[in-house]
Amino acid sequence: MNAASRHPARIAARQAPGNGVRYRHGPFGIQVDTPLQELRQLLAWCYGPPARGDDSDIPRFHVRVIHGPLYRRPLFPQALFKADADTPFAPFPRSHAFPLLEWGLNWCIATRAHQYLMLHAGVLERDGHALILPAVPGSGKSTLTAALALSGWRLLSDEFGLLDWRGGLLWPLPRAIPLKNRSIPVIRAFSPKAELGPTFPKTRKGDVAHLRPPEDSRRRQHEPARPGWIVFPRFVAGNPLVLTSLRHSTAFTRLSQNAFNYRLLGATGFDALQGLTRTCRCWSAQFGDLDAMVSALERLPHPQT
Amino acid sequence: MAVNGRGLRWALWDGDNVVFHAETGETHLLSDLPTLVLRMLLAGPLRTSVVSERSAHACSVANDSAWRQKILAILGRLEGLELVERRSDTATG
Repeated sequence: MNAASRHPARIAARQAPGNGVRYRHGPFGIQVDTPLQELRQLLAWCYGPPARGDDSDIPRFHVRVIHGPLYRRPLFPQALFKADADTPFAPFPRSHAFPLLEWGLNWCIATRAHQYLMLHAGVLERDGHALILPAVPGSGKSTLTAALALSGWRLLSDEFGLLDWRGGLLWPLPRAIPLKNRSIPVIRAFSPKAELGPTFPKTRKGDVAHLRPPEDSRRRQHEPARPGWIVFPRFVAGNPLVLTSLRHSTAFTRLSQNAFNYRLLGATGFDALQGLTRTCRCWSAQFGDLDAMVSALERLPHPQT
Repeated sequence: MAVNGRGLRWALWDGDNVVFHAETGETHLLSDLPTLVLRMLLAGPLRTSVVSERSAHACSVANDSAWRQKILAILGRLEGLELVERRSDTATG
C-alpha cells in the first residue's frame, strides 16, 4: 500500500473541483485544480501567490492538470490537461506540467475568448501607446517581446493581442513568455534582470524556458493601452536591420492572416481591424541583431506625429 | 454580371482597396481596376460589353479588343472569388 492509497480522503479533497488555485491573467480569472505540488510551486514563482477566493470573481476558465494513467506512474509519470469536459492534448511527461498548463490556457483563450479580436502578436506599451508585434511562429516574436519587456516597455502579452472591438483598446494578458532553444541563452545574455524558470527539454517545441513576467506588468494588468505602432518582425540570422514602412492595406491584410478569430468574427472583425490599422503606423522589420532592433523600436516616431 | 452588395464592406487606403465579403467570410485586397468594375456592378447588373465600355471611358482608354479581354479576365477572377455572378437576365445597358 502506498502513501496515496492510505489517504484516499486527502487525495479526493485535493482533486475535488473548487480545491484549486486562482489566478488573474488580465481580463480572465483562471482556476487551476491540480494535485501536482511542483506545478503549484512553479505557478507561485511565476505569478505570485494565488488570488484569494472571492465568490464575485467567477473564473473564466476552469482547468485541471491531473495525473496521467496509473500504470505509467512508476516509470514514466504523465500529466493531463483538462478544460471543463475537453482534453485537447495528449498527456505530457509529468515534469512538463507547467508548459502543458500554459499551452492549455492558450488553447482555452484562443478557442473561447471571442469578445476580443485576438491577434497572434506580442504587445508592449510605452507612454500609453501599444506596440503590436504580429508574427508567425519562428519569427523571433517571443525573443523580441522578452527583450523589450526587459528594456523598460510594459509587457501586455507575448501571445495574444487582445483587441476590445468595442472600444479599440488592447488589454493586457501578462503571462510567462516561453523561450525556445537558442532564445534561452540569448535572453540570459541580453539582461541580468531576466528571471527564467527551469528549462523543459525536448518538448514538442524543443527546449523551453519561461521568462517570468515583470512585476510592473502584473501589477498593471488591468490597464489597457491605445494602439500606436504595428511592426511585423522577422529574425534572419546575420542580417542587418531593415525597417520598412508598410501601406495600411498591406498591414491590414497581414494582420487578418495573423488573427486567431478574424474569420469567426466576420464583419465585426473587419471593422475592428480597420479601426486598429487606421490608428497605427505600420512597418515590417527584418533583423539579425536583437540590440539593434530594440534600439530601433525605441526610436519609433510618436504615434500622434 | 451582378453583385450582391449587401454583404460587402470596404476599407480604402492609399489607393488600395480592401473588401470584406460577408457571404464567404473572405477579405480581398483589390487594385483600382477590379474595384472600379465591382463598384460599377454594385449600382446594378450590367452586360459585360457595358462594363467594358464604361470602364474604358472612366480610365480614358480605347474600348478595344485588348481592353475587353482585360475586363473579361477581371470579371472572371471576381467571379472566381464569388464577388460577382453571372445573370442570364442581365437586361440593363
